[in-house]
Amino acid sequence: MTHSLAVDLGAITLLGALLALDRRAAFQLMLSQPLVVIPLVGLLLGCLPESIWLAAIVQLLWMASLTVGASVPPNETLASVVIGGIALLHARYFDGLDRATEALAVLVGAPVSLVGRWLDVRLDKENAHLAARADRAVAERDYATLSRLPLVGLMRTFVADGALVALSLIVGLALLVNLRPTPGGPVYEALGTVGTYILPALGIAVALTTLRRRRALALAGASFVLTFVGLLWLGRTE
Amino acid sequence: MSAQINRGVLARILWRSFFFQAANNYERMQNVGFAYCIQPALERLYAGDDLQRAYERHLDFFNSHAYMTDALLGAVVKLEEDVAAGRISPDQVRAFKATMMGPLAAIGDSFFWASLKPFAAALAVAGIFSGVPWAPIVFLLLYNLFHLGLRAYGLSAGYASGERVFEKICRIDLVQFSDRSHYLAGICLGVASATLLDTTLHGPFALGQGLEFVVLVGLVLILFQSLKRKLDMPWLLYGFSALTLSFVVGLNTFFPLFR
Amino acid sequence: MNPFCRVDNRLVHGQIIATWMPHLRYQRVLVASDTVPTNTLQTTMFRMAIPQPVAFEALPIKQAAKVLAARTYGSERVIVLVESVADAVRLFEAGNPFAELNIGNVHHAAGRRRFTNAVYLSPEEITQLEGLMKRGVRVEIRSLPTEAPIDLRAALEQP
Repeated sequence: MTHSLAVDLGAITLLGALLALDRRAAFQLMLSQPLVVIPLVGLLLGCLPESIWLAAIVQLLWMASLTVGASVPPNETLASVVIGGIALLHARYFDGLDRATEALAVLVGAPVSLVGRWLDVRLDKENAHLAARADRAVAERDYATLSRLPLVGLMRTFVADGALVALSLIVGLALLVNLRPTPGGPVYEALGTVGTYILPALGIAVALTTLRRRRALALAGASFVLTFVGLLWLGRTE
Repeated sequence: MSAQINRGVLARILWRSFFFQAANNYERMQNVGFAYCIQPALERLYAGDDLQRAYERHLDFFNSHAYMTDALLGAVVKLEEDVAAGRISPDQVRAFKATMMGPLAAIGDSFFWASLKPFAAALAVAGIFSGVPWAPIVFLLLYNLFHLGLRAYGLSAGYASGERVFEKICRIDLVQFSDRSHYLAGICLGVASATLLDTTLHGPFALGQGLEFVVLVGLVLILFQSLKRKLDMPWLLYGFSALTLSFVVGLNTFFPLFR
Repeated sequence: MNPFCRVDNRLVHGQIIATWMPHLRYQRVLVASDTVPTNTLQTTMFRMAIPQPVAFEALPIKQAAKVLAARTYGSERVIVLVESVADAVRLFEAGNPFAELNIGNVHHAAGRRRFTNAVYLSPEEITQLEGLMKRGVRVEIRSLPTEAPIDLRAALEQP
């Protein structure tokens, strides 16, 4: 398959908009979780192995994003399409992928989760028309229209999310390519440190907040110490 | 199974229930979705004015958990059969839906969103950090085993036992399951942190002399406390990144020999 | 500790179990309603949805007010749930003068004014709440503990 940047941007947009539907509008098979989204983008671009670490980190960072009741959490699906997309496009078309570039990709792409939430709220407000149309359809005994309304909702979400992904990918990639410092310099070192320490530590911290029992926190501490001691021991006996 | 409602109708309802939230709106939340899902059954049971009134009552406000709604759909189909046969009044269906949506959402939200999802994700993340690249597939399989299982079981059990479906759901005791999964998630996160630390020790940005341990554990503790005090994740992300940037760059500018 | 009073159309649901309870570590959920205590299906479902260590009770409004006023629960952290603004007012007038009221979810209907995506109040309800505020109750609109609370008094002053 011949690749070009434009074709890949289009393909990621399409994939992202489809996966965004899984987040709430259809199926909810959790294909929309960063853990799955980023490897799928990797698969699309032919760089699956490079995508795995980033998938785990982004998953941890947005682990606490829950949809309960009418409240709307940040949209981690759109953020991970953009973060994964720009990082892996950089790997493919520009200058490889390392901790510093991954960290920059996260910093550039994270606001998309908030713009995505704003878009989700807008869409749900607009959908009031769908409820009104359903009332009208029933009043007019036009039940075929009623069965088409969810499709209308799906199309709206698909188009809106696709537009946001396309725009964010282009802006994000331009930012990533232009902001990425030369390897070896102090800014590069700093971003590498962010990628190696800040992102994982923040991710683990967010994930720990999802544990609801104090004893679960204690278990996390205990299993951390045990595993770490085990790994040290393995390292020594090698 | 009655003449009107056969397996085909239930299968169509199951399929439609995957699009239950496609038309969510702030006015009445999932009302269009509910009417859409129940449509195949209503078309079989009613005609004329009765059909119209049935649609009207299913466009009431509705808000619950998508996966748990299959059990409710099954039970409502059963109740609608009784309404069509004149055994109960339509208001009982309305009241039943309004009564059940809250508790079902409570069980679904706390089991799927607050417990199973974090646990399955923590397991997969621990897998990835320990060098298992296909861990996301395990995440999907584990999660959807419960998800699809509960949807299919809920719909058929709901239709088979009507209002009493919730005794069956109680027997699965998802709430107890939720509690346990938090312990398992805790263990997974511990393993994930340890393997992560191990890769840092051998990575290109290692600090040496065991400093990685102090820095990572310290950071996790500080960030965890900050999150508990309601500082947002994005705020902490940019705040700590800016600190790191100015610290490292500053260090290099003023003490170039230090590195 | 003063009980946390909340108006929520859906009473016990995901927002209560998955966010408020871990946030303030509630030990008891009390549903004050004149219809719920007699509905066994509903009380069974609520009991099931609430994790075991947390106590659950559903009482008629008058009785709930009496129990709360007598401070029967001592230092237990209690969340009191009522279905509507009208029930909250009745609870208040039946002798449980709570100092703060949380409005969590009040569904949309024709003629209601929108405050948030989850709270729509009718003119009568606004009058009732203004009555409570005059008697010193602080009324906040907030669905989740992580959201910023909206003070009703301030919200009403804006057009």
